Amino acid sequence: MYAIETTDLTKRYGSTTAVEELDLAIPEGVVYGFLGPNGAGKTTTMRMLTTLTTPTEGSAAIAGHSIGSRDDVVDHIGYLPEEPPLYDELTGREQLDYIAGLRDVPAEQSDERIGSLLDRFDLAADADDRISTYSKGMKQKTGIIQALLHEPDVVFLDEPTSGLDPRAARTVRNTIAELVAGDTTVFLSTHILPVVAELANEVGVLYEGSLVAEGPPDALTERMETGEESTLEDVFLEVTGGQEDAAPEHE
Amino acid sequence: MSESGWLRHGLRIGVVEFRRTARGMRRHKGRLALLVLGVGGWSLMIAGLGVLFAEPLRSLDTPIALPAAARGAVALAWVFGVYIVGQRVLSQHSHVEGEAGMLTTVSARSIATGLVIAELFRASSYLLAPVLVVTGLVVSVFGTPLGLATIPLAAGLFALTAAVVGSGLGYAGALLVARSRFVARYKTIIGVAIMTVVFGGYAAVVFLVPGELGIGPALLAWLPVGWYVDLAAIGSPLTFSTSRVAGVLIATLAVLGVGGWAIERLTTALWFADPVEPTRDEADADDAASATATTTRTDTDTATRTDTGSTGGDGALTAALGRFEAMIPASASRPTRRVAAKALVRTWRNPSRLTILLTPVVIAVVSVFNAAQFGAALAVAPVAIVLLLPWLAGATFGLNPFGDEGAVLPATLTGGISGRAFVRGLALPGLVAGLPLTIVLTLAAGWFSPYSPLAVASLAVLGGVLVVAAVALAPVIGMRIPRFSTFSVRGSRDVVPPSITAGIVYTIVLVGPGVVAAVALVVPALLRGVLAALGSGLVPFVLRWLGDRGVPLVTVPAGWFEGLGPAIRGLATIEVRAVGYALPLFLLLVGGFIAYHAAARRFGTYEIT
Repeated sequence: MYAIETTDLTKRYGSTTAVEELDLAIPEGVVYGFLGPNGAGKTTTMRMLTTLTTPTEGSAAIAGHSIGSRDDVVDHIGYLPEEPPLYDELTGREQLDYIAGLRDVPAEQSDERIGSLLDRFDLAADADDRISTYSKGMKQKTGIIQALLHEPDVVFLDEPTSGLDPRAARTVRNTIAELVAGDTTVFLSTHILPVVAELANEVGVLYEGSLVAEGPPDALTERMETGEESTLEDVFLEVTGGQEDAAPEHE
Repeated sequence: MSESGWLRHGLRIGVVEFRRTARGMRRHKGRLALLVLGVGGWSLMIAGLGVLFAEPLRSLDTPIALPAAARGAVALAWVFGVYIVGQRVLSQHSHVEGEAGMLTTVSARSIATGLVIAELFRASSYLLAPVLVVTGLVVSVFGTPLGLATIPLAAGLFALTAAVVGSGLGYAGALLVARSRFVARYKTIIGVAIMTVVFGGYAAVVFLVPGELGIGPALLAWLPVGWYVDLAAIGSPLTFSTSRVAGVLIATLAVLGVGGWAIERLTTALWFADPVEPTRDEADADDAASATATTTRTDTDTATRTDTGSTGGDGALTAALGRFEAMIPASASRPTRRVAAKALVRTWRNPSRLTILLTPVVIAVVSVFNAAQFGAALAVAPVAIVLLLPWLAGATFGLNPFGDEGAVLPATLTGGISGRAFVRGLALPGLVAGLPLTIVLTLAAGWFSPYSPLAVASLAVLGGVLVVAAVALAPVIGMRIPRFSTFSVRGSRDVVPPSITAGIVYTIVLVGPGVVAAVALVVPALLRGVLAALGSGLVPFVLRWLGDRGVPLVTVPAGWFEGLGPAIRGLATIEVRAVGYALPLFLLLVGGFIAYHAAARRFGTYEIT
């Protein structure tokens, strides 16, 4: 069984096609790096996979559960959107308690998990301050904790290291590595290519709604026939048609 | 210190701030329409009255003595204006947009001047048309061209001083909230107390029968701000006092000088202050103050912190409610209790979310006081309570569920909570607070009313049913007509109020049946008369009008309705009472039940586009 499986997944808004016939088969316990330029359809794809948007055509399943049924899927997923979903008026601890309560995580478990994750992300000292006073990085870390609280099978992370200082970014990368070691699947959308290169087992590049490249990072970089040592950035620029703008030295 | 040209910079800031407000209004067509209707209607009413009484006014013996009550009324309006400006500054405009950039570009004095000017412009957008109408009327009726200068001058100085004093008080309040943990923690209660005192005092002066308790507008005639009417009266047949004109001009200069000085100091202290953290315990005060050296911290702060926070995680949100925790029944499921607790905590900590609810409160209070002038306040009060409190119980927490969630909406929708649990969580605070409050206050007001005990008890039952219906109807209407755009144009703490359309629909479906049931109880003859007039008058008229224009199959039903009127008039009072009361109650209960399930379904299927 795949953690994420999609068949001809398509989303149209009127005459505009945001995502076209996307086929994915992502096994359990891997980090899938989801790349693409702005407007490629990454967020729409994540919204469809998290049941927040209904596909126009095609189908998808998360941990074997069809995305057609939100009730079936939500227990298996954690989602961190690009803007951390937090209430300014609550404290960090209250926010996490709220989400744990929504998911009906037993009180003792949620207490322990919240405490442990706050410690891991170096947020324990600030947990009783209001989120309105948090920095961008603190909000991002609270959002990540929130997505992991119920120990989901599949975690969707949209730019999880955005706005984090190097120490916090390292904590996130370590956390992702630990999650995968525990058989959690991480669907990682980011523009920070070194993070994908370091963590991802598989990479998919979305361009204008279509998957234009997919495979392990090493295999993708080997595919490049530039005659020089290539990187994931070179692959990204090549398949998304931006090589000449971003890398003038290769001209 | 201020730079040279601070007044010019302030003017530019004021113009830009006002332009942003105007553009924000243009984006919200409903609010713009209400503003145009309100200001236009007010101006037309003044113009109409002026035209109507032009001849009698011309024929008055001159000079006309200016009564003390006129000066007192102007002073009272000024005090009211100060309160409104102060409240607006405190809740919405105590900081300039892009504060860090602005404070490193121009002086605090320039920014403060700009914000006061912007507030003056906003007030002018409400006052300009009525002032022009009054000026035109006075000049044309009394033939006094000097009024072209004195009336706008008096009105302008009136608005300017009110804006300066109101702004000063608003900034003082904001500084208190920023500096005092006690004020920050209890700002909602303090705000409600101040509002009660101001509106209570205003209502006592305006609405109590003159002479009763010795209170009336003339009581405030000694205040120099009331003497603007003397300034406006120069050149008219009204006898103005020269010494009062001089007095009000001196008072204006004093207000501008002292007020400007105070505002500069208050804003400097406010904008460069270290805000307190109201959620921290007193023992943590020093820690918190140093930790929140700026309103929003940097990531470096976090990295160097040590763990001194508490470790108790379970119930942190419910614990934040303090003694209000009792409002959430323990028998409710955990997800439901969390949704209810979150709604209460957010409302308590950001009471500006309630701003939108002031409108119906003001309408209800004004209705009662208007009725007081006709000696009917005791009869109107229980009905107003029965309609207003349930409206508030539903609207406070449930009229914009998706918009209220804001950026958290994706997490809530995928949070594993069922639609029913979510809707119950939204309904719980309104139900638990609204039900006893409505019943107790209705019975209390009914005790002093002219109604029979049975009618009062029936009103209380109606209030209870309305609360139940309100907390079920509001979420489904809010989910069907959500609003995600913010109310004001600044800052991250913007309020996302319900959409005006949702508010209108909610009011019609809730208050409509409520009014019918209440009228059936207390004035059944009125309901019978209205229904008979609608049945035999308006409906057949419309149907025949449509029939004359070729719409088929409407003429015959028109005849049926014409026969309906006499039948309705022939109904016994007890029949009107029974049917007029029971039918709306039944519809409200059935409608509420359907709405609850529809809201739960809507939550489960809502998509983010």
